[in-house]
Amino acid sequence: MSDETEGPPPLSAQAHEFFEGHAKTGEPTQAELGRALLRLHGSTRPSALSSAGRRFLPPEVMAVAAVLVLSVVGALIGWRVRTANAQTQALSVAKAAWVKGDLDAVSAAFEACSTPECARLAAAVKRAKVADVGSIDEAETGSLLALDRELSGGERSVIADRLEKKPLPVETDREFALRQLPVLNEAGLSTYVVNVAVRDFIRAAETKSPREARFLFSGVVQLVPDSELARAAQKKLAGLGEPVQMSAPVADSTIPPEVAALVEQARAAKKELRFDEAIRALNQCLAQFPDQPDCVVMLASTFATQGGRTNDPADNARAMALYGRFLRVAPPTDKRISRVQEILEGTKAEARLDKLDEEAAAQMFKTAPAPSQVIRLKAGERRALTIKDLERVSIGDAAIADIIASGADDFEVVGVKAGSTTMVAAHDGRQTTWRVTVSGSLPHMGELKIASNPTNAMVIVDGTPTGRRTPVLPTQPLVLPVGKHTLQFELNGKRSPLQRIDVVEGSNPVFKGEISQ
Amino acid sequence: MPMRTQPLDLTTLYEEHARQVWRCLARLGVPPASVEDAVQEVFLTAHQRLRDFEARSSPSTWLIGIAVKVAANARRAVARRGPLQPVPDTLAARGARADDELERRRKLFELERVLSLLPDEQREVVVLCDLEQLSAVEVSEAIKVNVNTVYSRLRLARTALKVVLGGAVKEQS
Repeated sequence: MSDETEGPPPLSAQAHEFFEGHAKTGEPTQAELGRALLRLHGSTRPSALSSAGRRFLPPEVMAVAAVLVLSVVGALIGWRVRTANAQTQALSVAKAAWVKGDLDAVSAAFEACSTPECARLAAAVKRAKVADVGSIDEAETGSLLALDRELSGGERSVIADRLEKKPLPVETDREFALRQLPVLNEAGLSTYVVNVAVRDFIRAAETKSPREARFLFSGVVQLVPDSELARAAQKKLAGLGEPVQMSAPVADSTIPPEVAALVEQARAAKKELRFDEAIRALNQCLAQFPDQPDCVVMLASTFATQGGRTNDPADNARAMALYGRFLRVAPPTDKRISRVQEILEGTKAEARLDKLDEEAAAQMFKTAPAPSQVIRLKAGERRALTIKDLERVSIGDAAIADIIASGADDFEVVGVKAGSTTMVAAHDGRQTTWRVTVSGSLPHMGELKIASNPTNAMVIVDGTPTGRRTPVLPTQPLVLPVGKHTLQFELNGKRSPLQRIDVVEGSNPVFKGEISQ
Repeated sequence: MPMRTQPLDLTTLYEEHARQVWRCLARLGVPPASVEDAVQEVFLTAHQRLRDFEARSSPSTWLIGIAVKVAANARRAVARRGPLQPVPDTLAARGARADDELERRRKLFELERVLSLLPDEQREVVVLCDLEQLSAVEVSEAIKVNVNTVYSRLRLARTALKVVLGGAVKEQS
């Protein structure tokens, strides 16, 4: 420490001399100093020096760079999100199609999405398509079954059965009919017509009454002609055979001429829907010949027909009683006996089913929770509902609101007349109750058929696009409130001149428009 | 030490101290090709810190302090990437003064040869005390060390120089 306080030793003579010799070493020239000063001035201009330091770019350049960086990052995030959404959507569509066994739809869903995962799954589905028609080895089957588990959420699908060469499960008539719902809807038919056709097909397939089945299947054929459902109904009709004609003339010489005349008179009246006249003639016949089977069966048939039209339970009850009486009085050789037995059996079965239905409905209402939701409808208005795993749905007063089934988990509530009632649905092991309130009636509506030249133009009513394109056909008309409206068409950005139309209730003449190209 | 009453101005600062800063940098081991850049760095740093200059030391000491750090950085850069290659003499020569330029370089090379034998801390105090003729107090302010540390480093450096230069004299004789 003594060295430090005393200071350093003096420079040696050699060092002194050396440093004297270098007194100017490292000295810059005047030119170097001037050049450095010029550089210094250039570097210290406000634009060249930020307050943060000279290593940073000017603020405006930094701002542009920041905007560019943010744009690129935003675009990347957006692309990533869009890709993820597209994949999720594709997977969802593919899962639905896979469970149905529609490999083309599965393939299309994956091909519409461009992520590597979609590409992998699309390739696997292509292999599945090949496997569907040809033979594949065990390894390939294993990988496809793994894909099956991935797409069908752990449950076995139709494809899995097909891959393992297992017989496909037999489709019930109900399943077949429900499968036709979307197909028929896509064919452009009215939703109402489609729903009625599908419902009638199911009822026809499940009823024990051949007569009812024949009637309903015939209706289906007329409602949705040239469809898969109509062809199935035709096949069912062929299987049911020809109906026995109740009112066919009976070629029996033992029938008294008075009876034959009265039966003939009743048949003519019934044909013209003059049921009272027919019933009078047949009662007259029975007054003279109480056990005459022709009069008995004809009267029964007349009451049944009348009951079918008026929906009066008393007519049906009389018809059933008379059919029973016919079985007692008819000779064993009468060919109509089997048909009458069939009718009675079917009716009894239906009555039993109706009773069971009523009992089940009554039970549902007994155990139903308090209404948790309210459905407000106007008379004539429909409200579509979808309830997952729907088991049964009942409504308290069908005169106020009715239920129309439209699918396994779908149905519509229709307002009938003003009032309030309760609706209960059993689903997913529990029950939900609604209060259905029907008020007033819908405004008077008119149905429009619309055409344009050229076609495929957007229909714009009162300045608002309706989402419908021309031609608007009578099978699915555009429904508008009665009154004055404006109508316009738009195609490829061009609009037709504005038309003022007066919509009347019910059917209207075809409205036409022209778009100049 | 007289205290400045007027605010510091970069141009004035440059005109008064650039020569000394340049010299120090050249003597503290900054390669000749990088001295001008190092001078720029010293004065730009000073420019950025002008507002913070509290005049507790002279501007000269303050600038020398910055120069010592810039030189240390330059030496580290040289150690990392090797010395910059000097521009060939044919291009650097300045007409009739080419001989002078050659002599400048020879002297710089000779000084560098001797000083590079010293550790950096000793070299700094030797350059500042023995070549730039700064007092030990000024040097301690410039390089932010205790005065006794300056003395200690100077003592070690002078002892080393005695050996080095004595050897050099013997070699010459």
